Amino acid sequence: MKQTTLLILVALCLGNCKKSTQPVRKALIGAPTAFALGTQYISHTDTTLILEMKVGVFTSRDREVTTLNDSAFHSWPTSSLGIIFNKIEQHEALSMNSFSTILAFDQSESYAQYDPFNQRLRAVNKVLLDMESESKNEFGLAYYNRSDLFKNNLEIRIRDGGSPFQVSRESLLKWQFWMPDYEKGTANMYDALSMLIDTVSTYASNSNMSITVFMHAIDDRLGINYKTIINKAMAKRVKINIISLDPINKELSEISCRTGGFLHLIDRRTVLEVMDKGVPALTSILKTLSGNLNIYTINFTVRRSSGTFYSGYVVNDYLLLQEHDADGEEKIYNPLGFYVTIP
Amino acid sequence: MVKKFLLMVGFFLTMPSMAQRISSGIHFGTNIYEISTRKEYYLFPDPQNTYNVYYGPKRNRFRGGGFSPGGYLQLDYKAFLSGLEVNLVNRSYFVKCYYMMDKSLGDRALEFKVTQQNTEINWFSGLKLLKRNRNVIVYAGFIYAIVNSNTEVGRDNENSNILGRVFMGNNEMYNVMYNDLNFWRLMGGVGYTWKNSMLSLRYDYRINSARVKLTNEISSFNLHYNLTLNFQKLKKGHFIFQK
Repeated sequence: MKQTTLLILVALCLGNCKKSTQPVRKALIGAPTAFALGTQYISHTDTTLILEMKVGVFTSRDREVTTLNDSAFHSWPTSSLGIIFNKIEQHEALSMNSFSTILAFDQSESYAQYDPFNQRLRAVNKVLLDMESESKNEFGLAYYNRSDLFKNNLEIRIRDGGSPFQVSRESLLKWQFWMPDYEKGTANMYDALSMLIDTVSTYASNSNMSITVFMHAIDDRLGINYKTIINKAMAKRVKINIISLDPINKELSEISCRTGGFLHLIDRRTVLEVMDKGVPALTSILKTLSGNLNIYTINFTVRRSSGTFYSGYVVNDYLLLQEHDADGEEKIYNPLGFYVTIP
Repeated sequence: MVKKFLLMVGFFLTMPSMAQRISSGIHFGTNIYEISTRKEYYLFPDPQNTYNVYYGPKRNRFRGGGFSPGGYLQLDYKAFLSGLEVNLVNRSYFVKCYYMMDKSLGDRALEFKVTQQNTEINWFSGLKLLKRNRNVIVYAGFIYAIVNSNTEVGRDNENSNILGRVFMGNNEMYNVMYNDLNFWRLMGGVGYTWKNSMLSLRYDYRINSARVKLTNEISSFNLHYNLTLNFQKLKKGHFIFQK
């Protein structure tokens, strides 16, 4: 009996190990990235135009960018405009606004060169988890592509009754899980936007309505013109936000600036770096749309190389945000698009 | 609570024998077949632990492996028996699933292995079916498992570290296949005894209570061998139960 007791006690002692620690969630990838929240006209003379751009900056856990130096802002290298930065200010968070948005994924061609590991699924999961505590906000998912000349695909995940909002997290993720299977064809972005504007304006219960496009290919020009989209969006007060992984296109600046949306341009450097910035761009949608982020206000003067500024003149160009750390490593690099019509 | 329970077991094992027949000995067990099921093909791990979403078979069957040494104490009365076992249990669980990559890469097969070490206290009651020295026994009972440690390893079958990017954490299956909370199992088995040995086939089922709920339901078949080291047949006048 004593032998048995001894054996049992030995077993208990061996088993009395310390329990594993509380689980730690693996962080999503991320690199500091910046985007244009909008550009305002301030004043102009014949030779100068003064504008003010609001810039949002997201940092990553391992590479903090808490403060940007004034020297981080540059004119775009190939621009014909002369830019002089007058004043750069950092502001606290803006006001909190409830919003209704549909996140529309460009499903044309393939994400092999942009997001081979399907980081989008993880990022959307995070957005949906963050949304669970924000009951006033409305969020939906859609994707678009033109699989052939006559097939104009726009899929919107809806619940009973046709609303794209308040669909459960699991339902949206199940749907998004298979999205890579449907990547093909060209981008019918403007056709899709036209239909999405109708959907959002019909079902949204918040006045802050928007469509957030996550794209890697410009529209194939087989459908509606982008000017039509801008007019329709402005008429229905739907903002169009754009997160572009590759194309740096002036049409995108015009669409987002004129409709009041944000423009997040991620210039493609390396395959993996694209989603390093794309993931924070996606996961921060909640903060961006509700205005809960720190912003920089850039007041700058634009000069033309020839000619004068006059009422109705349109400026559509870029600024460059680029900063290096002490070791010479690039901390942040983003084009900041702006589009302004002189009143 | 657990410490009190262990003290009671210790006391029980060292107290003078006062039944018709009391036997004690050592015990070895091994897990031979493990079944893990969930309600749907999609696997949404606890969002506290990961942002990943997986897809895979609802049911995973695998050779569990592991080894569980321990000791036991058994009371016999006529055709009935009841007893306690204390075992140190090492078990491994596997989950096979897929993660969807880009279309060009396709879905990626993954395998998660969870190794759990528990101290388990089993209480069982049974019935001897024959009246011979070689006997067949059926028994059933409860197992209280005190979780000592959990180790999870996620493995990508094709390439565990794609271009230096590992997306799986070390807790993807936490609250899916395991957690740190102690839990109960139901168990039942059939055994064959000869001389001072018993070989039994045992089925157990992890109870998914609201407090320690896992996404997956886990059950297993185990093979156990009990070796009696000593027993006492009580003399007349010391019986608990008078004939």
